[in-house]
Amino acid sequence: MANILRDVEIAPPTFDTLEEALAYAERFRQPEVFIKEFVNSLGGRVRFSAELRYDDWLSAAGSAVISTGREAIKIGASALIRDSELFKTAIHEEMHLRLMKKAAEDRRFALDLVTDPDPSVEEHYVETVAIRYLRMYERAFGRLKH
Amino acid sequence: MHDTLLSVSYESLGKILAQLQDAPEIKASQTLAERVRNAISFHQQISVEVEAMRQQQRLVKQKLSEVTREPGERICNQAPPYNFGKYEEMRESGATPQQIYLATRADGLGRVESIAALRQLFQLSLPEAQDAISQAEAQFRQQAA
Repeated sequence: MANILRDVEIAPPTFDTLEEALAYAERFRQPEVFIKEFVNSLGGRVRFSAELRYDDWLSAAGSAVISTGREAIKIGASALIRDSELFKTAIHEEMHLRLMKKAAEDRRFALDLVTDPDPSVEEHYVETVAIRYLRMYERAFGRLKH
Repeated sequence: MHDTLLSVSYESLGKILAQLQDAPEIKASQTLAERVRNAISFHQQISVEVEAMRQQQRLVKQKLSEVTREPGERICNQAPPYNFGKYEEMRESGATPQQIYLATRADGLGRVESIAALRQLFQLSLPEAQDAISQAEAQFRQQAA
């Protein structure tokens, strides 16, 4: 099985003032609130199939619960380090959910991806889409804060 | 987050000490130079222990993450949450893709998971797996009629 790697930006941003640094640190104190505000700040320009939930136990940046009827997007602590990483992680997991939904509807492209014996095929696809979407979003609406 | 803050300040401390050592004021004073050398040496010793503790912490977090996952949860950088062990045994015993497909459906697996099982167990392409499913369903209907 091929190694599945995701390019996660884990270097925290730098700050010009203490106030900025303290404001940034708030996201780690109340991650649920921060994630909710972050999604609200996208202003409906990105629609998620499931609510984004913070999971303190999650070792990865994100995960998607793909079981039908129990769909969820979970965000791990490492995704909070940068806004761009949170955006990318959320889109990455959203793509897993959308692919699974389309696969269940027998859509060939999605079905081929989600049932591929090599899981890196789907991972590579969803990550490519997430990166592309982040670029498009930032081109259209300006760079994310961190 | 405490991790990250600790990591940044800890690494910064090493850099600050290295910069201090090169400062003319420190070089000019034997006592100060000695103190900075001691501090650097202490920092290096501690860094080995800190790294070992971090490694242990990473392992514990990984384990905690594994045991707190929900059924059907797909985690970044990991394989999908499918467990086809039972069907692997069937394949080893000579079961055909059609038989395994019927077994997966009888066990309550969805169509997508069943296709994933066939493709993984028999290294089939999607059309090959779909073909096997069509055959299995036709056989099943024939037997039922």
